[in-house]
Amino acid sequence: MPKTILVVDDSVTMVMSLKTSLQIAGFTVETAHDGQQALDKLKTGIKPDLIITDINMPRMGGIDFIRHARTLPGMRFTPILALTTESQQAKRDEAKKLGATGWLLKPVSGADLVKVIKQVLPGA
Amino acid sequence: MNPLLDQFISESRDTIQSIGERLLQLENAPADHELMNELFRLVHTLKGNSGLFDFPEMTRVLHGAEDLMDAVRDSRIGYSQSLADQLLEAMDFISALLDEILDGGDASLPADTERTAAAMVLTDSLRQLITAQATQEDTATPAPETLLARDPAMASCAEAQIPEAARMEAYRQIIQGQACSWMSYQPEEDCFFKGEDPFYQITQLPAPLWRRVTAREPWPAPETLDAYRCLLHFESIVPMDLQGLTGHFRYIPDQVQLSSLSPAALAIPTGDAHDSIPAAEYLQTATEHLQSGDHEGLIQASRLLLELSSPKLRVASALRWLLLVMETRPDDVPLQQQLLDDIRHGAGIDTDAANAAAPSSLAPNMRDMSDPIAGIIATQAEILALTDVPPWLPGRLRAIAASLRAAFTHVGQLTLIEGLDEALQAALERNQSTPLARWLADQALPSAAEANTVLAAPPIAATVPPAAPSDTATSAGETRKFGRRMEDAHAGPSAIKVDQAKIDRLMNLIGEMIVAKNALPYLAARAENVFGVRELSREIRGQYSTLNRIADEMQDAIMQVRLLPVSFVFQRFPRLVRDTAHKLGKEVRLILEGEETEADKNVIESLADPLVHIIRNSLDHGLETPEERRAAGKPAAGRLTIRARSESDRVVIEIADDGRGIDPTVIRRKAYEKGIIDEQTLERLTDQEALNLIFAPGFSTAGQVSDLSGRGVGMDVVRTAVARVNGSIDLKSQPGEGTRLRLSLPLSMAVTNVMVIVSAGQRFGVAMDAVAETVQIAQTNIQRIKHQTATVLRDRVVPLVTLNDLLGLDEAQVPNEDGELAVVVVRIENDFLGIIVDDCRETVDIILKPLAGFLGNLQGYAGSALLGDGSVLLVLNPRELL
Amino acid sequence: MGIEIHDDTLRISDILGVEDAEILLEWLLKNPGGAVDLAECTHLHAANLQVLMASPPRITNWPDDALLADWLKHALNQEE
Repeated sequence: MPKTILVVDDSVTMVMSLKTSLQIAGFTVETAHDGQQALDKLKTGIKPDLIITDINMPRMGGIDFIRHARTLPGMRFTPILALTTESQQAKRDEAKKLGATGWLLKPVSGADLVKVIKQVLPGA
Repeated sequence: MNPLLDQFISESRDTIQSIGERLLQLENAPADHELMNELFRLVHTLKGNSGLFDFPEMTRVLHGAEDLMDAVRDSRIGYSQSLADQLLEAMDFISALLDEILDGGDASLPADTERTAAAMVLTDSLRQLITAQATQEDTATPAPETLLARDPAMASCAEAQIPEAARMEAYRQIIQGQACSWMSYQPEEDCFFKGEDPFYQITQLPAPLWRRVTAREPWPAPETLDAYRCLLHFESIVPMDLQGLTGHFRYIPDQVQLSSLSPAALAIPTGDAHDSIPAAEYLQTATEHLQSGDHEGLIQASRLLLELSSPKLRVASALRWLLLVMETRPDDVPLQQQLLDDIRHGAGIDTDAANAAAPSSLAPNMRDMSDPIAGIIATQAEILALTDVPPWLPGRLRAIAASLRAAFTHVGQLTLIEGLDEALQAALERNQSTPLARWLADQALPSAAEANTVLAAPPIAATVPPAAPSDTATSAGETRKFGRRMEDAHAGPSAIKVDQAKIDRLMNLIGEMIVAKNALPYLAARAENVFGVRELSREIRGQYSTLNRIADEMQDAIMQVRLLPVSFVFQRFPRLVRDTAHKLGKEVRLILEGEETEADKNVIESLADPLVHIIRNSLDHGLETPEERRAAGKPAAGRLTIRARSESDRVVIEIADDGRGIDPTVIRRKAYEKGIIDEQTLERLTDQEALNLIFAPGFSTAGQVSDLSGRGVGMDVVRTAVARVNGSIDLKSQPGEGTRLRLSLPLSMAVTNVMVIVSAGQRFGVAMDAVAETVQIAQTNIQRIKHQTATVLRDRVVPLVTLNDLLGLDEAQVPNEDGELAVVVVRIENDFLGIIVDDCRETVDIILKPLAGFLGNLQGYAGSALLGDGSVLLVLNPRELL
Repeated sequence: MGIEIHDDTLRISDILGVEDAEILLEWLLKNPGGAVDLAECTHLHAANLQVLMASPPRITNWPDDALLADWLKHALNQEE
């Protein structure tokens, strides 16, 4: 059974690039363009095996999204990876503290992406 | 100095300044994460840059600083006053090094044992901050065995009570080249709620050599168990290097303790005390064998004692380890010594107090040496272990030998120096480090590689704490030395970065000042002639001479700022020559001299293209192929020398090759064929005059146009470019022996000294550079030969032209009251030409501005300048006028 | 994937996820003498490992995956 990954990013390009890489690697991909939309999707019943979320997004940013997502019953243990740049150390630390499992550094290459996912998602 | 180094020094100073500022800011906001990041980034950049050069001490200290800041930004340790002090001290050291590099003007620093020792002390202090603070936070109570607390890996292994067999297995793996690390992973209690699966992290690692899973507190009864509160604790020895393991746990560095395992960290005897074992006798013979290098003897003695001991005893464990080390690392004397020490301590034998107190990490020979000296020697061993063969290897070898001699002399080990010279000689002859390295290994350290371990991980059994900076005379001395320099550095950095535009502005201002100053003589003349106050006129002249002197000095000072060494242009030549010669299949030895010669930035920049052209010409046409050279009885490799020097107010650059030279007859024929000269001239030309024809427009000597020297672009382009900056060029060549081109350029082209001349009621300027002399010639002394007029000056026929003719003015030149004509004799290349003018006046310094706009196309003018009385002076270019 | 119950034996296959830990714990509480068959288990979440360690059942078969088996045996102090 293919694993489902939710990708949250306000950049259409980024979503597209991640989605393509993930689909090639055999994952089912759901997308959202900001934290609020992602949260709404989670509430309506989709249950991803992993979430990848950007940090800086309009309406609801990644940090708030992670915090809210962890309060949803089905999302307590789901691995979440924050999409950050090298310089966003503080953001990474904050995201980690609020429940992120790890992070990806932009720009993300397809190979790196799969490698990191395999490291946090058993059976991926 | 090369520009990259220049840039490095200047950027490093800025960076050090920023580091100082950030540290001060951090003092007020010690938890500011952004500041810490910034600090890390700055130190990281500095370290990265230093790696571009060969400054080992700098890189070493910066590496320590980087690791420290890395620990700070990862919150592994907190900011503290002592941390700031330590980091500032490190930066002072770097500043002092930068000064030293700047003084040397060279991208390499001569080896200096004091400096090396100072760098080691600094690096140690930086690293101690990391371990000291980290252990403070990690363990509430310090480990009872302070001896063990120094190596976290060791301490953890011992605490975890890893069976000897597992440790020996890890030891064997390490000996066989498989890096092994110690891992202790204690996940956060709520880690499951962050999507973490610690067990998955663990099982993704390669199969461990030893592993243990425990709970951080006793498991509660199953009925009350909270499956989602993580109480697990994983420990293992992983066959993986520290870097890989750190990467694996990069998201949770604060939940793991990782360390690299060394053989010494694993070889810890364990077991019951052994007071009943007769170890004293064994220890004496074993120590003797160890010091005399009698492996077999040591092994036999150890086997014997092992048979006598119960396997559960600690002494048996120590002996098993010793035998394993003897078998796998017979040269690891420190580790063997460490194990013998363990037996000695366990047996309660402490007869040789000096022996026991000595840092057992060092070979017996070095036991009496103080720590910094041992460090110096270890550093030399490290350098010797490098396998590269740079062009400066001989220098490096000599420096190492000098350092070693100094170090051994310092500790009174004069006998050890015997053979050093021989080893150095052998090393120099073979151009490799091996003979020296071998000598050093024989004298001091078990092996050069061992020096690394000694340095990298202070061994466990070292019972003497590392010497504090003030402990020994040596380190006290160097602290003082660098301390003084630190204060100097604080007083003011020796170089500042100034925007080019600012210097240009200064240049323009001094130019205007010179022009304004030049108004004073006019004013003096007016005071006397128009207003009749001679007294005032004299005073004005007096003031003028004072102002003149100051303005001159100021101009000179500003010029100095604009000076660049010719190396700015020269540095690209080695590559250019190499590549070009390669393309042409020629062998060329390039010799650069006088690279430090300085000239104005504009002059230097204008030199680049002509020089490249000349070099290409030389390689293409001048130097022969190796076969041709051999046939001519010359060495196969041609020689190309580029030499710069200053001559009073000019820079002279010579480009000489030992190639085939230029044959004047060939030049004559070619020039005739191309219609550059007529038959008559062909016969009349001297050899030198014929050679100068290669500067004529449209002349190219090569049988076919090569893609290297450019299509149809000849030496005339070079001459024009050189002339544009008021330079001159001449050529000497001897067929079969070589060619020499000589460029002479002004040091500066910003201010030009011109002579003011008058013709047809107008004033013009002529650059004094071109003026050979000015004479008054009686009209009777002017001879007419056909259409050409000429006169005889000092037995030389000088052709004459009138300026009015040259300028196309239909007016006769006006003679003076005595009927004599004023003649400006100008030198164009090596010819003299008399230009008849109406009058010659004073000389003035002007800032020459090129003619702009429509006037820019006007031939015959070098430019215009503003005079002190506000009028504009057109400056002639005699060469173009003709 | 998941948990199969055969009388007094719990058969675990593929991955035993984090949410399964509560089921596992509940079953072990209800079946004090129960056994667990891990032969086809490829991974179990650390939460499950805790449950097994706190309330050690009889293991009828260790995982086929040698590395996983090795860790589990050591965790449950049942190494040969």
